[in-house]
Amino acid sequence: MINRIKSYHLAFGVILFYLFLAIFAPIIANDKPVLCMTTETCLQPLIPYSPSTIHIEKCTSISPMTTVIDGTKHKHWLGTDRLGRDVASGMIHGSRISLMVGFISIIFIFIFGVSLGMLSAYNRQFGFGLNLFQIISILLTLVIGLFYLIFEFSNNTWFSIIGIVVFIGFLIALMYYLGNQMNGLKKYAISLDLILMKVIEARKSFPGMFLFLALTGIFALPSIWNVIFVISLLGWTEFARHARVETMSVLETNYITSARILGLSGFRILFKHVLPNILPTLWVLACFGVAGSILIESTLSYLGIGLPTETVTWGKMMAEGRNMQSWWMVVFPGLAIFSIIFSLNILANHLQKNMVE
Amino acid sequence: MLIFLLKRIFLFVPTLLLIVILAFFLSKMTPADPVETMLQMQGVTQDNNRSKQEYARIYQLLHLDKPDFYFSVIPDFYPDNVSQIIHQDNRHLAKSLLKQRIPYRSILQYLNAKDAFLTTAMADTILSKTLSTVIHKVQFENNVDQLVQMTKIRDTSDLLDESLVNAIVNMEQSRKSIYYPTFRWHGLDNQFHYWIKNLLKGDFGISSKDSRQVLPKVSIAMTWTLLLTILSLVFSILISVPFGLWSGMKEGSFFDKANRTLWLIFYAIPVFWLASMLIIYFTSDRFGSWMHIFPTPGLWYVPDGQSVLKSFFSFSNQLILPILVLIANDIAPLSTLIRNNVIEQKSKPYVLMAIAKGLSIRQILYKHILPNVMLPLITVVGGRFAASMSGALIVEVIFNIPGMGRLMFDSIYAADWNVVFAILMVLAVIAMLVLTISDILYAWADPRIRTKSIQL
Repeated sequence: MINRIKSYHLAFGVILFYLFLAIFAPIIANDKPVLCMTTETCLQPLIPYSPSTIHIEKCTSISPMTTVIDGTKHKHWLGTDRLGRDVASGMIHGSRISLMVGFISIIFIFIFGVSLGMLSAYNRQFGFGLNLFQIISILLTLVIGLFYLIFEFSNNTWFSIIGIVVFIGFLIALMYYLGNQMNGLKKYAISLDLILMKVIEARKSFPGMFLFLALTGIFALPSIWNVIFVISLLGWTEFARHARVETMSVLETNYITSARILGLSGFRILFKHVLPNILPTLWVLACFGVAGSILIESTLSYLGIGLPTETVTWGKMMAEGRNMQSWWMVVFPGLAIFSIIFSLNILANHLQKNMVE
Repeated sequence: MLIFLLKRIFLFVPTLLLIVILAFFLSKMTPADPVETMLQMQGVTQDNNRSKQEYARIYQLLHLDKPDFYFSVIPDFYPDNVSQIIHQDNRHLAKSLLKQRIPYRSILQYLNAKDAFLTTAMADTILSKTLSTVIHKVQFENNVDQLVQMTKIRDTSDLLDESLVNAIVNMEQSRKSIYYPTFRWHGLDNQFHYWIKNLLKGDFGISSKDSRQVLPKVSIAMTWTLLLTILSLVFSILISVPFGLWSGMKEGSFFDKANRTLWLIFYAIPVFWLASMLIIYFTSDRFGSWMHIFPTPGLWYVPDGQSVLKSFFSFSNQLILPILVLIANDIAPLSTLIRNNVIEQKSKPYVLMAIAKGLSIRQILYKHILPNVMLPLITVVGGRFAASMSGALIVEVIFNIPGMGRLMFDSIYAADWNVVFAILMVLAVIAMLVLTISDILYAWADPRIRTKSIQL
């Protein structure tokens, strides 16, 4: 049995190792030399193949460590695929895709899910009164903003879309502020919490893989950003649920009550007093979330949906390995996915244990 | 209890409506043209004079010329309904020109001028090279700036007739820079209305792959998936309950640690990796004949009319591997949950009382702790059901089981969107049913909740 402290260090090391591979992939595995002094003295990369180098004549589907005389090149450490592309090189470049999807989608999920969860918990605890002016003006702003967003989105001008989103946010804040100045109007309680709970419940009971498959299938253009978008779109509910529960327990403490008595605004309380307290739990969740995103991405690319055909990913290599019955293309990428997910899970468990104590 | 049930059913309807609306708009976003696929199914080739008439006929038959929904919120320069342009290329052209903020009136003028120009230009028997490029450009160009560019070049603009040039210039001049939203009411004569009417009749449309009705196809597949999911869930509960109970009881022992590490490892193994490895190593004799334990996957032949249950049992030897794979992923969360609950329950007074009474640990575990642990298990199993179905999708694709996952996967590749959306809606109904059933079970198992719900 490995000591717990050691296993945690090992897990962290594995994740750092994959990050290193992903960042320096073009230097580690490439068919061009890294550095050349003269035409003879060149510093070759560790694996002198790029993931897209095709060798159909001699190197199709060779198993790992078998020596093939193919001119000047080196051994294929982990074998090659049907088109003679190096598996080791493909795995190193595939780590880029996996980690990118994992970490970028978790950023979106984190921001969206946590803010919604905290808002709804605050809403449940203290009520979130809006007067008639605020309700009508904010609803109108949202509808008109959504309208312009949809019709600008079809033009695909990112600049104007970001501009519109910022403008809508500004308008809503303005309306909220203006409404607060009108003291005479009656306030109505808005139950954001109930709606959010229903959405989370519905999402949780729906088999996610079917939705992932359908949504990535509908996007006509396969690209990594579409996959990240779909993962973020469907993944935030778990974060919102946990953030909500944690925020609710923090909001019951005395220092929040005293902050409210001091007259601090709701947003200040949430960001300055609640968020630092719930962050440890969210890190645990973020670890699980990255693992989940990586798993979903590799599953989608195993099924051959979502990512462009020319990008090499772990999932795609495994799919080909299964079709061609070549064990090395299933075992090694699978081990990579397994080790990264396992490390993230161990890390999350460790964080959780630290937090409880 | 009855009030509780009625409340659940009352919540059922709006959720279902929301799902149906969502599914409809998603289906509108799909890239495929349903009429085109139907024409291909009938064997009508393109570039045929009759094919245009046939296209128009089917287009109107499917009510595609109607507006999308009961109302729409669109920019002021949009027409009420773009879909009423029956000619396919012109419709796409109009849509992309509208996106470039060109008013509909100028677009119509351009479309008329374009059609007139093309008919006269095509009538020429001898096409010069420049003329043919101009025709090609007029036919397929949808960017206004490019079209305007064409009118400015001398030798191409000479070939265009005056009305076409005027129409293009008019389009460019009347281009809107500012637009505002307008609300249009379309009434009951819209696509969504016809669609939902058909849904209520149980008509989900026709699969464009084999022109069969969608619903029977999906329901057969659904039986397979449900059988697979329920079977794997039952097995994983049967395995995880004793493991969870004992490792919770002996918290901190070697058994507990080994147990948890083992299931954590199994949890981190991707479903598709385990499945691929099992297929490669255990279903062929490439690595020695003793490794050939399980039959080769994917030899499914389900005769028409044979009941699913019968074929399920006839293929049971092929289902061992898929169910094993599904179980491996399910045990970890279930057994961890049971373990943590046992640890929580263990320190309660009633357990102390049972020990004082002189009961054995086994008796305490199975008679006193287990009923209390089963309670939270019900909600988690409801949640695991969805996860199991996700797993079933991958397993079905890998092992070629003719379930819903396999059907969905094939349909997405074949752009058979009717089937995809039927599956999504069926799944939504299943999800809601599972949620309701687990709520009811929970209320049945825990008297506190039952009484609370009646009070509400």
